Amino acid sequence: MKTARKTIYQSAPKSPPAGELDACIFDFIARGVERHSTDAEFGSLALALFRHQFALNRPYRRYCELLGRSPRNVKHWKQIPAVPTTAFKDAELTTLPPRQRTAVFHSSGTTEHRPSRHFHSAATLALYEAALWPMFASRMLELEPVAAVTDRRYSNCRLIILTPTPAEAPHSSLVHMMETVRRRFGAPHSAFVGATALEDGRALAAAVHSALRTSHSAFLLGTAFAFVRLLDAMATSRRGRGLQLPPGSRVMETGGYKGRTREVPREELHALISAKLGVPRSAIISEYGMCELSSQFYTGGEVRSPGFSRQSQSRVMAAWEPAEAGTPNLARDAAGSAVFRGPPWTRVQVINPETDREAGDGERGFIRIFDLANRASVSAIQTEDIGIRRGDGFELIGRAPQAEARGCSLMVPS
Amino acid sequence: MTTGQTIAATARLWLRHGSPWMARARRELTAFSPQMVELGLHELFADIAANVEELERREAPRITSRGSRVTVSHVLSGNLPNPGIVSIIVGLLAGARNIVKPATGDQMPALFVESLAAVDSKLAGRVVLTSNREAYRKADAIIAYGSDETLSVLRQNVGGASAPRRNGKTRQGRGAEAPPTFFGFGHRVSIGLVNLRDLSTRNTQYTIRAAAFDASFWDQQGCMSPHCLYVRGNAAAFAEALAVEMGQFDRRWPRATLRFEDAAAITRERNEWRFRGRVWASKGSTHWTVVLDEHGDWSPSPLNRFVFIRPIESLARLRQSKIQNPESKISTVGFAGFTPTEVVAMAQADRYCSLGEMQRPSLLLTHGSRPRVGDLIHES
Repeated sequence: MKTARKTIYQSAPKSPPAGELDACIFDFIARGVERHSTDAEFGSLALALFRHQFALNRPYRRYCELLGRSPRNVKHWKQIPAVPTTAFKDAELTTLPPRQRTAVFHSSGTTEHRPSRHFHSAATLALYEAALWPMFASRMLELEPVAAVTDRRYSNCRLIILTPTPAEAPHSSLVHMMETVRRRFGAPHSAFVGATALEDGRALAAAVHSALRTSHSAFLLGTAFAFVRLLDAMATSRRGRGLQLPPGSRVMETGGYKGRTREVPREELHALISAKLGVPRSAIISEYGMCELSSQFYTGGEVRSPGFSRQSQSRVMAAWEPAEAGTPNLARDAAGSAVFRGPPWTRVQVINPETDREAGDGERGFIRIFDLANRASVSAIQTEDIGIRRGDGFELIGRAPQAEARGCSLMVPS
Repeated sequence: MTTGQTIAATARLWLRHGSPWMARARRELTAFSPQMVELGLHELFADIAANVEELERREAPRITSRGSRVTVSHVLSGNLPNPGIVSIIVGLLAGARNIVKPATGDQMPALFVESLAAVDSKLAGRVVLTSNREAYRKADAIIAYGSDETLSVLRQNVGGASAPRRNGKTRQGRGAEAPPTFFGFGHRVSIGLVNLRDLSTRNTQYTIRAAAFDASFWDQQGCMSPHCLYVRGNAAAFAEALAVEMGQFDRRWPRATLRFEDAAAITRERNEWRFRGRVWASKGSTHWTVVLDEHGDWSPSPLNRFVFIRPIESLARLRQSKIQNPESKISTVGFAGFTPTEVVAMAQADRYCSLGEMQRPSLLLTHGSRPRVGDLIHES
């Protein structure tokens, strides 16, 4: 069997070493997020990464072989087999030998018995941290990454992070991201509200209230469920009713609800945050990330679809209509406000579930992400989320439906 | 003519070569491909034509003059035409007045009643079609099909409602406040059991074709279509051969075009199982899917011609799941290569049949998918 495998792959291009790949990815990240990467730039690194992952990530190679794909016949980044996010639950999808695995991120969710596991080494964690900052700086701080730390606008600003602390959630990629941002941001009084406050809406409101007393402006970062809990508590407590963010404050909302609180559609949640916390809608940003990825996607910014001029993009944006009657047109308020986009070292495809082909602009499908910062696992991830393709980004609709038992013959006794 | 004879004559109208009713059904039943509609309705009306008079004879001792004073409501789910048509037939055989609330967009009950009127307008007059969601309350008996949630709401509403008075009289045999008798038919699943070791090569070929039929007929929408086939023997070879047969079935009787959500449910499962098991699937479409799951627990199929193949050893996990319990959620077990005794010992169900017959239940049997005629007019 070993001989056969050797014979099959001896003609395939060699897998580049990890250090070399890391250097290339760091280079990509250092170029910032405002310059669009060409398909050739992206594709060249994506194919090198595929060779690396095919060679060293055994479950992934087995999967590729089942699909009949290998470095010999994958010639374009779009042909790289994408693994479903659920595969991270079933297998150790990593190129790292056990001794190099210094960190692991788990998927969240109160009902998940088998979480996804995304392993990192010291080197890939550094890559993860490097990859998350430029987009955060650009979308949340509206700055070039290097300027953020010293910018005067943020001299008396603090981060209020509505998540558990890193000690409470050591395997949460979101909490790790927040901690990295907190360290890079540098405001001394920035803090996590912690797990206890998150369980109790009144305590959460009190924590936010207390954090706001000494700051001129604040960045409130948290999951959708934390915001709902905060808003619910504000409606019932005296202290909460007086909670207003100072001028210049911004809000970043991310993630779902995982059944922990009532669900509020994102558009409605943003409207509530704006009304209750006194933040303009334009200062509320959504983030899309998951433990299986190393890069994040944000709303805001422009469509950078190749071949689209800024004017033609505006026309397209203005012409967007609701996908179905009764669905709010999220793009109506501000161009790109509901459209998620990633950094130049990522690509997004929206895949039509019926044909398995890429959906056209404005069409629905499964979100598939290619993330070059996922060096030690798999760069191509097939999510279970449904989105609408919008230029080079996507509008998030939500999780795809699961199979349910249906039928017509269960006797319900009278 | 008796009611049974009239219904049999109506069924024969549908079976005639070039039947205008069948032509209309092909056009108007858009939830399935025209080819699937024709095949499915042909099977249904052939069964009705052959068996409705016998059913009438068998039920005769339980049909009383009370039937003509009884009103039966039929709340239909519309996932496939059969239960609705059979339900109406049962109501007519009981002699009852029937109020039918079809599912939104389901044309089949109206077509059937129209065809019945062409044979006997008086009998057809005993069926009233309504779009009124509350009409089901005005009945002595309610036959309802749908999701467990829908049935729960309906049953709650009925239980809490006062029985209506008609012509100043209370219902015979009941107090004025007695709720109508409720027959609810909700979620269920079916499975197949195949013993390849005890089948000849020829029988194996037949079994594979029969399994493909059961998993594809009516696009797997009925509760009698298998979600999973448990195989003793070479499950991988069986799955591969089944995939070929399902592809052939689809070429002749194509599956319907799906809503986005249904296609997404299939693709989501395919993506997951491509990593976890082995998948054979139609290319460039979601028309049919066969998944070999050699280690997995029970999981429902997203339907629309998506079937799991599991080794017979996995049946132990099914027995431990909530699908298999004293109040069984298994409707039908189709089998091949096992003896009936072996099958009954392996899985509890309302109905056992040969593979290939799973979705062709005889009108003569109730097997938990319809009430008996006499039950509708039973005086408590």
